[in-house]
Amino acid sequence: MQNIDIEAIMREIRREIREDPAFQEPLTLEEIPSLSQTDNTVVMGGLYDEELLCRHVGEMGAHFAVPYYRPIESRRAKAFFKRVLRKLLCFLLRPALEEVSAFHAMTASSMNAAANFIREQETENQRRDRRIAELEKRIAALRREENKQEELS
Amino acid sequence: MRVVQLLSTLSFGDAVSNDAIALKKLLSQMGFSTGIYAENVDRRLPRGTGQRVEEMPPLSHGDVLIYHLSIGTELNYHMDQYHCRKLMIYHNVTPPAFLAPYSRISERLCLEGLEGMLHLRDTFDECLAVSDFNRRSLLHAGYTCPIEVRPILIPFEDYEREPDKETVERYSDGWTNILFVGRVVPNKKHEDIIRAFACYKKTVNPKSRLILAGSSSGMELYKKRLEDYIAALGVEDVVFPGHSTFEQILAFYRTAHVFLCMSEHEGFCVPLVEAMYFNVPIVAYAACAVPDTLGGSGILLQDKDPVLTAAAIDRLVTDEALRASVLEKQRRQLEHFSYETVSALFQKQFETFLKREN
Repeated sequence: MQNIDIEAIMREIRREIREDPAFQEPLTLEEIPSLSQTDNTVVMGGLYDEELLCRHVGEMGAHFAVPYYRPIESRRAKAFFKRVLRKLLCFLLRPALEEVSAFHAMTASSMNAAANFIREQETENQRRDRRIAELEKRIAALRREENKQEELS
Repeated sequence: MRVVQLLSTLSFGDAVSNDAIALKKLLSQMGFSTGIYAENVDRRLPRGTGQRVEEMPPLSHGDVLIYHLSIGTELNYHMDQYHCRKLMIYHNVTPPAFLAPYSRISERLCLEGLEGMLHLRDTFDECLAVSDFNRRSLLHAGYTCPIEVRPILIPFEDYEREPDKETVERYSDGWTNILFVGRVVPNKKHEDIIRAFACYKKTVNPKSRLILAGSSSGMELYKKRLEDYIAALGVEDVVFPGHSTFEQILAFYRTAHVFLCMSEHEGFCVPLVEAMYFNVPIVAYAACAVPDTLGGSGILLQDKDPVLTAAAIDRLVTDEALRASVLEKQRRQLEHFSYETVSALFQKQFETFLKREN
């Protein structure tokens, strides 16, 4: 195996591209305005996607609670001040966050029920489709039988 | 003695979940009674792979809890309730700033993940970091417990499965295929891959395509932004196959000529190892754990100059000697991540952990 110095090759490539006017740098992402910056259809009105729905419902179930109490990670004085602030605001924030969490829980529960209902309906639809296909086959066979008997009579 | 693994989400196809599943198998082979427990368990996983955290049996002092940390979750604040020996596997947390413009939920989860990581610094008896970069991150965060490096456990036998025939046929048409595999998320910098590809396609090789394999679920706005960017650059043949089957992923690797990674945040980057396994030469930007995983193999870029990247891709595609040399180094590096090597390393580390704690 030939031992190749990749650093030397990269230096060579750098030299080559400096001398080659054909190479042009394309614009960066930041230089190009988004054609859809205000378009929120992806978030708000996307097509039905079972996998996405299941994932989002799962995430809703795991993260519906907005906790009031969060550990404070700071140095002594700062941490003390933050703890005092947390204590002072407790009467105001805790009930509000509990209401928000309760609302989230109801939404998550409803979404979960809706997702289960959709899944059950899909299974039921598939079962009905199979049943309809079977019945259509039987109808076609009976029609053929009827036509034969008519021809004979 | 029971050894249980705990993580936020056990999902289908992501590196953290795959690592937990491979470790479960290994722990079972080592003779431990084991299981995986998570707040969310993906329905697509085979029955019995993992259970919900509520079903986790109570742990006693002799048991071991292995906790995989990669995201913000309530679990980060409940570790004190487990009165057993605790080992953390740190996969790193994506810096929230990357996600802020596209998903407030993801941004918050990552912010909480970093807060959780700081909160847990005195909780574990030992940590295993999946890369040296992760080990340094833990030290930087003030962790004082012993920290060992143990790469992600990858069962390579799975990669010997038959690739999807239709995909292989579609992309075996004489064109040059440049591949990146990974979720469509802003820290992976798909825009920089697209930018380098635009330069390569327009200047060097019009008969080339870029395949960006990976799910964009939860990052639909970022994907839309990338599609707008592609349209504005006027570059064709950029393929987003979306969430692909395992067989399709195998087909992408089998038909790829170069693996291009411009990611700015990786805790390990399993796709680099996969590219090594499939003999696809790698061009990658040197960020976070990428240099650790490459270990001197592949072509490592120190900056993101799209012209330089395009020229390096061209050289790898056309210079047989360079390609052979790069692939040889990658094969040597791959030995560090073989199932046998990593499982033996884990067994040794785990036995040391048990002895130390006893």
